[in-house]
Amino acid sequence: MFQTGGITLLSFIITFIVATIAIYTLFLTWYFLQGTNWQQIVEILPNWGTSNNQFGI
Amino acid sequence: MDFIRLIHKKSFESILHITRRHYITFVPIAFLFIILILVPLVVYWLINQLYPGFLINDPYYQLVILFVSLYYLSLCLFFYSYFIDFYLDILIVTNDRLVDIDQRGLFARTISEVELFQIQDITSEVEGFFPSLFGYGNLVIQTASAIPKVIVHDIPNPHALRQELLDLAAADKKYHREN
Repeated sequence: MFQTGGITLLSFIITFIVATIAIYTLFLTWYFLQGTNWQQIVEILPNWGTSNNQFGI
Repeated sequence: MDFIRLIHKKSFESILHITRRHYITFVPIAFLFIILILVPLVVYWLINQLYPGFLINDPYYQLVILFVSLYYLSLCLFFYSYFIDFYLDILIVTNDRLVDIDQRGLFARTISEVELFQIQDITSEVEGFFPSLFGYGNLVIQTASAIPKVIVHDIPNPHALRQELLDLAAADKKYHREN
């Protein structure tokens, strides 16, 4: 008999690692962005000409 | 995995081998995954060295966080897709037939089935440094069925399996001649 179902533990370990990384990534994204003001005006190229280069209101 | 239900095992059938790709073929992807995980950390360190304080300012900070998050989630998806492809590629040998399950990505799977008595010729190939070192290779099975050729990639001990499949095919042919 050759190598057979012994790899099942590997399947569990890989799934666990990938799920942990994905959940941890989502948690850290929420953690680092929780104080963000999503309504703020973001200026791009503020010194370019006289036009009002703004996104948002 | 319930192989008996997967292949609709017949009452007289017994499963002799369940073979997956050699585990060493997964190692390069695992290494690549680890290196790609470290890339944002290295880039963060480099930017901090070259432009101190750049990533602390709005809105770059938020954009970087969102981009890195997207990067890591994509990486997880890529790695897991590859693992599923590796893990669910299976060759099942019974005393009556040979079932080759070929998983492609997350949502595509091909199952080929060949009766042992229809096997005409089997070639085992071990080519390259690592395949020779770790003893894995391909098995090319020529058949007289609707699927003329079945190729099984990167399985362990292909030479031994070829010999055993030839013996099983000879025994099955003898059985079909006599009955």
